[in-house]
Amino acid sequence: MPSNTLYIENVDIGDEVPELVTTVSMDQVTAFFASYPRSNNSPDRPSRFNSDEQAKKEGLAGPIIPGVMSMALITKVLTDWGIGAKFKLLDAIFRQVVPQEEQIRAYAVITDKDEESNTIELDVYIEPMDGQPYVRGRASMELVSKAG
Amino acid sequence: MATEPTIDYDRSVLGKEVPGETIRIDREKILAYGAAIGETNPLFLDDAAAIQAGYKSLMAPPSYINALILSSGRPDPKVNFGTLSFHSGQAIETYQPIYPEDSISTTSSLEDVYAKTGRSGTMVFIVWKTELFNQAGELVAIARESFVRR
Repeated sequence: MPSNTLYIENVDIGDEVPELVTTVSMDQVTAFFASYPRSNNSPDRPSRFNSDEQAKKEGLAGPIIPGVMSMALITKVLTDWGIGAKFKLLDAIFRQVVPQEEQIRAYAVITDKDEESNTIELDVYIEPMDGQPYVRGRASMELVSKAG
Repeated sequence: MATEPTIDYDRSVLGKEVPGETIRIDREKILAYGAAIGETNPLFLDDAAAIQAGYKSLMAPPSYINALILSSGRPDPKVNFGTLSFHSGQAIETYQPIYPEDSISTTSSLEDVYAKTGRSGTMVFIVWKTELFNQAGELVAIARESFVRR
């Protein structure tokens, strides 16, 4: 096991997973969709993700981060932290649109721990630096046990 | 008790499973996906680290399944309501890693269409389920996505 493996014995309910503070740019969103094997979100086709004008036509303040990229950021928070863990579930609700070019934080808190199945449950969030969550949800991961 | 309005949509597609395209997984696309989100976990970046951890090679980050759902040909219920659609939620469950050169096939179905009325008016939610399988026929992941129309 890598030396930074996260063991079930070393986590507790209430522990906060280290947050990711980031500002997502339109270029990042474009690169994100470009990494898809197929994508409907070509930069040549104006959308709420790549055009300020189109976003405003749809009643938004400006371009937004796609929900699938919010899912990717939350997943990254969990997998960056849970070295050796198996990611099982992420169930998220997009409560508000997440704006581009605004500092956001993604984090998680352990809400349950089952040492028989080596599984933890977490609440997950993407929030502005001050304000109500844009995204809320829950996740489940299976960690490694020192007992093997 | 308030009753929700009747929604005009094509009910014939409800529950019908629709196969999508089969996608061959490209290592460069996995790495590009990781670069776009600032991936740091070596399991998703480095073959040697992944092999040392017991996997056959580097693998796609769990959320990469979203990149494959777009090719799933989700059945369109042609909901006649509202002018704008937003992604309102998603659940992903993962069962098997996705490796470069895997061939991933999908089956999608429309699970539900329902209306909710709140302070901001009536919204219609559309829920799809997509199952992803690898070339061995193993269930790799399940995704449920909901979109809201208003």
